Amino acid sequence: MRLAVYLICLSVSEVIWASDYSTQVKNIAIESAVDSYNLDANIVYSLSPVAKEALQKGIPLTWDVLIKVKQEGLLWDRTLDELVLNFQLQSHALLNLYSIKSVSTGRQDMFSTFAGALDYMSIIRDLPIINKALISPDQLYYVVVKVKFDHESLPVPIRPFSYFDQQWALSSSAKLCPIKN
Amino acid sequence: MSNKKLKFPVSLSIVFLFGLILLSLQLMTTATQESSELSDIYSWLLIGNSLGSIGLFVLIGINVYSLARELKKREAGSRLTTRMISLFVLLSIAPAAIVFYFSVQFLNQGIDSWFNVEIDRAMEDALELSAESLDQRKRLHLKQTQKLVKEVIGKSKTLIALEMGELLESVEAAEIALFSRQGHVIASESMDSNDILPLLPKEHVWLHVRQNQDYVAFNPAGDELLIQVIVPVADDEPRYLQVLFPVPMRIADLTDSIDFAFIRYQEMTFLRNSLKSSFILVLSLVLMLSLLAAIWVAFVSIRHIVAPVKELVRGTRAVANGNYRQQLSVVTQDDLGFLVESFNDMTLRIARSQDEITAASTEVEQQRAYLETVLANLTAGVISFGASYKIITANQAAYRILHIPVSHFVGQTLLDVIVRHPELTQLWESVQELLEEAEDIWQQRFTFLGPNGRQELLCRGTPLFSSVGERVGSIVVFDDVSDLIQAQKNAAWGEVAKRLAHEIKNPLTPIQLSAERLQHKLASELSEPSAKILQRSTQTIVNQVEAMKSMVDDFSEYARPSKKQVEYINLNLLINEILALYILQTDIKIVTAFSTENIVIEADAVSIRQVLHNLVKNAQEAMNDKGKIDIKLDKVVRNNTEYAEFSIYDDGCGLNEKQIETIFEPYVTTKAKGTGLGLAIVKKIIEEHGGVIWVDTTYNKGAGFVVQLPTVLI
Repeated sequence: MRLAVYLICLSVSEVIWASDYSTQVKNIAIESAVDSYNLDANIVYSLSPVAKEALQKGIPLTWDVLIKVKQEGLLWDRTLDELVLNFQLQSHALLNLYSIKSVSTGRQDMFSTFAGALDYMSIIRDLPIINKALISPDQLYYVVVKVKFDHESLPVPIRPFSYFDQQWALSSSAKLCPIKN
Repeated sequence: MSNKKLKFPVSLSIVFLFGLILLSLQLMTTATQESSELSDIYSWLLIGNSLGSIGLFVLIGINVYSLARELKKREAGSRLTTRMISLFVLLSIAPAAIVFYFSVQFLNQGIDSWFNVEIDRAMEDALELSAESLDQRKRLHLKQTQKLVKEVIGKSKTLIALEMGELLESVEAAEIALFSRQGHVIASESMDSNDILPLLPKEHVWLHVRQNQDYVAFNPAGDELLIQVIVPVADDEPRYLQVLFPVPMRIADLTDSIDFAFIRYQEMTFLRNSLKSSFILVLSLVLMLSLLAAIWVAFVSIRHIVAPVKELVRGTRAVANGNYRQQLSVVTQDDLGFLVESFNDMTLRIARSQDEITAASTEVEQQRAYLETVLANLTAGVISFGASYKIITANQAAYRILHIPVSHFVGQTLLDVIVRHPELTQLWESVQELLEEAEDIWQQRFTFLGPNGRQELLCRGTPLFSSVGERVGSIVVFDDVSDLIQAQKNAAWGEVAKRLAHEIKNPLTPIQLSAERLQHKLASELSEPSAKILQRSTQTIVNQVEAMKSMVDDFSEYARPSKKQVEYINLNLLINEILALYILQTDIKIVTAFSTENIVIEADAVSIRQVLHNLVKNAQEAMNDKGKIDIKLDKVVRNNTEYAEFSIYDDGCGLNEKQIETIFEPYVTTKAKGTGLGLAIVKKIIEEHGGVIWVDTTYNKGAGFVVQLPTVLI
């Protein structure tokens, strides 16, 4: 019930805050593996013309994929685990390549096409999100996935204005998915 | 003079605040530069400074609101504060606005000057040149790889594995590897002996090459740049040859450098407008924060400067309201401090003068009160007049003598008094005339008909002159001399009576005796007719002598000093007792209205009986023994003394004005047989008992007499 209310609230907030260029989290699925629950998700990144131009001009764009495992509580829900995947997309004009760099791990992947780079960021497969030992069969759990565009990674001159510009409203709303144990 | 230290108008906290603002602005300015470590907290600095601006704006708003309220209440110093702050704001905003305008212009022009077509073209050319160079290298390495593919076609896996090292050296590659269709490594060789596994192509690369297309791409690997070439090996079983060619270090560095410069330039081009906006935002924030802080400090400072002025205004108002002891605290040692000290000195002097004036005024007031007391207790009436003959003061005796409240007419002329009291018209008109005309002391006697009968006033007046000889008013002093004149008349009549008794009564006896002797001696000697004539003549002489004796006795009685034997007399009983003698005698109806309480006087009962008899008899005779007599007896209070008031009214022919004037004088009568001494004796007895009698002139149906005698308390 609470999850339903939460979903309704999120839907309403999505309607209010969502822009034409918001990232969308789609097809979340929680799969049970041997020791853990794994997340499958598809994320659709749609860049605004301004964002695309910025990317083409060599400005790196950074998204944080926030994944939270929550347990329903009486008054408020408890966060059991939290995971952040970050992607920094950058264009290299000379090499005609797009690089995707994980800020946390330092791993960098090069892509010859923009679509290839986006595809790489879009698909999350078999990502272990929580150990099964932490999940109690009597409790209700769910996963929240949200993609947040990092305005602070933008160059200083554009940073303050990006918060008020729909062209830079590239974050997604939160998407929920229950864990069936 | 206070020895307080000089204080700056700006306190330490304000200096600290300014320091904080400057630091924050400096941090924000530094953070604006992309390379600065502070750029990470740029947004927070922006928020902090914005909040600071809002805070200052609120502070200024509160100050403006407070100032507006002070202005509305017309508080001291509010207008001066407003003027000073307005001037300060105007003086600070005007140059700031000019600086801001030109700064923005300079900023825009400066940023625009960074970009031009030549640089654009140069950057693009440099990039194109670099790209072309790299593309040539890519094409070269593709051809080399394609040659190697030809060499491995149809060879077994084992052979290829053995030849891998030679192939690698032949093309001076960094790594060479052969993959199966499934992506498994068939054989590989690397220049770096530490590399066990070759670089595995990514999924999208596989998608590309599995379509039998050659793949050439750069692949950054750590610090070095590699060119990854994958070419399908057209064999029975499809295989893929991957060769990694290192880009020479120098070329890689140059490539990086050009790439970095181009990206930076492109980024700057993209951020061109944002950069302007960002700088203008920071400039605006710096300017606004500085201006707001300056305005707020101006509020604080100007309030501090104006505080002594406010105190002075407050002090001046206090002095205007009569608080001459107002002293202000000297907070500064500047010109305003000197002004405050001068003010304190001035109020001190004023207070002293005020004390002296108050003391003098008190003394004058005491003297005035003393004079008023003297005047009030004077038996003579005193009325003072101003320059325009308007009454200024009138004492109690004036009221007692004139029977009108003269003090109620203060500020009015005597002619105004006449309107309310026409009975005094002749008196006041005469006095007014004298006031206007007399240049020196004057004295005159006036007669008027008061409520208690005819009164004689002896008036003395004098004009009053100022020290410069200007006429400032006049004063009239008057005495009621009616009693004095009456006493003089009575004394004269007494002397007359005494002389009459002495000069007339003495010869009467010889006359009478002589007449009787003539009768006795000559009656027998004369003829009968002559004897009858003699007898009638001598009888007439004797009768007239008797009558003259009787008249002289009456005069003696009037002139004789009274021999009073005073006792307490219940006037109610005494009057009833006397009236009882008259009730059945004639057709006169006597109506009495006596007080219910007994009225007792201390008097000679014989004399009072005579008074009552005379008054009743007088009334009886005035009505020719037919009519009605009203007799009243009551208590009245005059001048804090209780009197028994006895009044008697008849409905006879009454008295005219001339008769009223002389009714109490001896030998004044309206009757044919009267001696004219009845009422004179009545008045004499009443006055001997401390009483008063007068004709009630308000009664017009006949004659009315009112007698007042002091009562006693038993």
